[in-house]
Amino acid sequence: MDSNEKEKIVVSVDPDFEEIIPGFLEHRREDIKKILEALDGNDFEGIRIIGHTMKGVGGGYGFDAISDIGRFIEAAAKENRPEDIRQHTEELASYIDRVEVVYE
Amino acid sequence: MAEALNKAGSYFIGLVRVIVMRILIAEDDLDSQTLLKVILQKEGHEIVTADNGLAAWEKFQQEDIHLLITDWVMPEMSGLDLCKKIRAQKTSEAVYIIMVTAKEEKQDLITAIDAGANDYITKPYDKGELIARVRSGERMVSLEQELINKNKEIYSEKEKSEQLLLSIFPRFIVERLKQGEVVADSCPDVTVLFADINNFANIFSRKEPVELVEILGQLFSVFDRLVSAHGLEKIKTIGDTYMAVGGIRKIRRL
Repeated sequence: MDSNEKEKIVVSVDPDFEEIIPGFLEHRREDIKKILEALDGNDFEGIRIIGHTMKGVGGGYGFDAISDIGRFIEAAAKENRPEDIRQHTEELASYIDRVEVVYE
Repeated sequence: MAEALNKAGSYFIGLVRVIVMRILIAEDDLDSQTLLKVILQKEGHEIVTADNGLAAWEKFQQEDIHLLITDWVMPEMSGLDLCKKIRAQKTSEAVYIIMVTAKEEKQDLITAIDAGANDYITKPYDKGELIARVRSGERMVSLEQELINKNKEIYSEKEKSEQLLLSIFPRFIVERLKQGEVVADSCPDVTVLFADINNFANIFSRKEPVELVEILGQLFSVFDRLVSAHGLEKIKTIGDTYMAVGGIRKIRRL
């Protein structure tokens, strides 16, 4: 299925955050690249830190799903589980791709 | 609002005094730092930011900070060490510290509070929860600041009353009075000097009060130097009268 045909995920976000949301989502796209690079180098500690940070910040911006994915990535990195890390990173990529923000 | 601020960092809405807090955010993650900044600026606070613990410590020393929000894990210096350094510093101003961290264990909370944090918020946090906790900190800062100001006033009044006593009694008597002692010494071998200006009223009746006080001040300063040079004790002045005593120095050390 083409990504354009995928079902959108609508998230309501505080209007006060409108100016900072695009930067926040861009940083998550960068996180995806960093995690995949770290996986190639077996840098599980680096991945754990990214997951930990994502867990901490996602919900604050209104994206609870990003906090959940960050929590899973952190846990998987702690236990050196590359397949789980890859799976959760794909979930994140899909989420970022499909999310539609409504400021209300 | 900035024009209405006074030196205490507050302004008035009607009769209600509103404190504008200067909040230092110590956070190495840019997204977390930005989020905190946006939320707290909307609440009307002044925000100072630092990207690591050491930079936060430097800014804390440079700026008049009322409330610190710090991450736990940061480069250069952790939030815990930052808390400990701030609490170790003898500062006269009230500082409220909130630790914001993704650490979730109960022991982490205890460790943070033991390090000097007043409150602890677990990431991800809700905006409303953050604002409520900052308001709680604001109330504490306000109360503590009032207490500090009252203590300063009390100290100032105490200084004034001591100066008043010193204008009446020698210092060693004032020190004994401050200890709560009733001072009534027997001095069997003393000499009392009681001097006034002959025909004072007639001589000075046409002088202005300010000029008269100035002349008496100059005259009594000469007496003070003589008293000091000859090892006497000035007791007091009354109008144009100067009273001093010799032979009571040995009582000082009783």
